[in-house]
Amino acid sequence: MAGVIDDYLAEIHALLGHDRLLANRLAEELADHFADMLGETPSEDEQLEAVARMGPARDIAASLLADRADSTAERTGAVLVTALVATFIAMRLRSLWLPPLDADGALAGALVPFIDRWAFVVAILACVGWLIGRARGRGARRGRWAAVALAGLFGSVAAGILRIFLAAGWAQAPVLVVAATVGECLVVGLLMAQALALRRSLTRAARLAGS
Amino acid sequence: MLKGHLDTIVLAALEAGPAHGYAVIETIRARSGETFDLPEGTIYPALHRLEAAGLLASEWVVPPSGRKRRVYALTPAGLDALKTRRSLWDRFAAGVSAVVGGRPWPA
Repeated sequence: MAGVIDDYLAEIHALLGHDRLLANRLAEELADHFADMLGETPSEDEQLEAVARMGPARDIAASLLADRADSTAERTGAVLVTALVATFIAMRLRSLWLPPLDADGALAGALVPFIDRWAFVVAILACVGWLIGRARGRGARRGRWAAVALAGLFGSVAAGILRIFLAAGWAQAPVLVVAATVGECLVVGLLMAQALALRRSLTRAARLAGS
Repeated sequence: MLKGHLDTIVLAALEAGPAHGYAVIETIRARSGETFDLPEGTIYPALHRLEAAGLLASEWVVPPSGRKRRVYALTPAGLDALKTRRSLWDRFAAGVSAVVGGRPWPA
């Protein structure tokens, strides 16, 4: 099928080019659709009419990308909750198994557990904001809440690592505490990757929807 | 108004059996007495969305005619979702009919 239909399918490909799998799949589905509708040798007018019935390629791509952004936001939420649980467990283990840091009155000894705890509280509050955004269907705000939660978790993880270092040193720290902190780092790293994917996804969807 | 019900309409169109995108559109058009003459491009995002939600499954098939096509089918979860949505729709439609389609009010 040549001409108008080919141009339409090429436009779909170009709009979804960042996701080759999706672009190929949709282009093949639409090619099949046009073939069903038009037969083997359609005239240019018939092709133009078929394309008009399909609607603008940009609208189809925008709708698909908006749905993708929603799915990515859902996955980000699941990883966020997992990261909060992992961080909470690691934080509790540090409190239970490491000696207190503030015995000698040093500023770092008081500050590090404070940051460990309150950065986590910030992450919890951001998670609540994310859930409220989810209930209200505000995708862009959800992205912002995920970023705040990520910053809070980063603060908590960094303070946790410093706490282990100051309290016992890595070599002397209980294995369980070190393992929990490593697990916490991995899950927060995964959350960062997911948050970046969400940001890209929301940006692409907004660009197509707004233009 | 149709936009909010599109997913339900697509699920209902696939209740009779697996079908490809164009057949889904034709089914909707025929069963609605051509009331729903949708921009055809709205159906494909809906099919992809329902598949991502686990309500549809799809696969490429090559029929005897030889052209590869993607065929969608309801999953068990999709069938359950359709039953639930149909029940909600029946209540909603009955309510709207009672208010809008009845005698003038106040009598």
